[in-house]
Amino acid sequence: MTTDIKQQQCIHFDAIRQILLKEWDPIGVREIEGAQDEYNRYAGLIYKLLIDRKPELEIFNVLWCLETEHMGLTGNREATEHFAERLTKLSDEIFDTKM
Amino acid sequence: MTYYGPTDTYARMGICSLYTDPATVARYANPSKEDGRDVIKERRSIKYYRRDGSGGGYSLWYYKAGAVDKLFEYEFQSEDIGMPSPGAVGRPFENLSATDSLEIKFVPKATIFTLKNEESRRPDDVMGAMLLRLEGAAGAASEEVQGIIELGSMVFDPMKAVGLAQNMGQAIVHWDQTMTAIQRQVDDTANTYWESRVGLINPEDAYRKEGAFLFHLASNVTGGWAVKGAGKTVAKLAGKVEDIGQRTGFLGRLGNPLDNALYQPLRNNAAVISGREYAGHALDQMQNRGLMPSVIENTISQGTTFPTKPGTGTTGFYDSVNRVRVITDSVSGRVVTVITGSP
Repeated sequence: MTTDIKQQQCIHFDAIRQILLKEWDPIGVREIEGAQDEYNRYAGLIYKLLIDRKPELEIFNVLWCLETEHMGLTGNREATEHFAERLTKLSDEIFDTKM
Repeated sequence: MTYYGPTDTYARMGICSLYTDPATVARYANPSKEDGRDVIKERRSIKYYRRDGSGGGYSLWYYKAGAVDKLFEYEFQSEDIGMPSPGAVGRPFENLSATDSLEIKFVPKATIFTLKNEESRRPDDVMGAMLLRLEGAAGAASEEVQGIIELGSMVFDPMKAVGLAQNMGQAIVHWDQTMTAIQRQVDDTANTYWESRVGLINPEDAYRKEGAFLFHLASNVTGGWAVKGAGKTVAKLAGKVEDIGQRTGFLGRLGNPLDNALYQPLRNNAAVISGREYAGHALDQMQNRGLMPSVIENTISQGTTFPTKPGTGTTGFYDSVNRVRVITDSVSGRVVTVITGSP
């Protein structure tokens, strides 16, 4: 049972890493081979937000903070809002059906 | 206790960087920052001497998180005072006689060690355990050499006290006092140095990997002899001295990049280095991918630009020589990330 949960977490975690690179990608590096792990570090943070079922606004705030403060980007607010919505739905999909 | 030989020690310690320029050393010697993460809970000063007569001291900084994160190391260097004995200056200490007169200059340096393997990604308690194991190497070996070291035979050690005593015979006879005096002088030197520099911005600090070691045993464990405390514990360890200058590197590197620990998604804060603004994310990636600010600066100034994903507001620079890509924010010019490898 424990193993199943861990496997499930690994799958979720990997999915989040992929979605951060393919759909979020605020720096624009997803096509660069050497940058496929560019946002891996944030996957754990995002995963925790999803597990905790944080509201969309809070997820947005975290993403926006990462983009504009930690990454130092000017940021694209609309795109980030859209991605936060996407993550919220992903959270619903994962935890409504699996947990 | 487990004894780790030099090879194993090096393998476990991974990459290290050596800094000897005063400004950098001073920055590393800065004992704390205000963000809470860097506040030390304990500081230990240790001295050591090698068979070739050279020696040094270092300080271990234990942080609240449990990791050892800083090392301030010294090298002894003979320096003439007034009327030095002919030929004494610059000679190995073991070749000096008890009547030679000279002064010892403490040359500070900072050595930063970083685990290069998977253990570098583990929590701090594992890092701490590793430190203890390596420290144990010196302690374990000490038993087998007790008795070998006798006051009169330690011709290479008491010479270090000449800077204070100027009379080697007396220094040898009063060994405990000699060592205590050396300890005091090193501490005083260190404290003065630190205190005079407290408050300096520490750019290199931005590269530090939490949980990484600034580790002490590289030079003394592999140096052949180690003296702990006031000369009470002496350890003779296997292996040859390796020139610390040969062991250079910078955290992650091409082909062996690091990554932030899962518990530590944000490691560095934004910083200005040599007039260039770097985002925290960029500093993290520079650390992970083993890139120095000079390489980044060169890429931006000499490299060619390449397009990034539309709508991101970023500009890319590529250095075909170093095979490095730097991405900056188009508006601010701030370095956002760095990437290694060819397109």
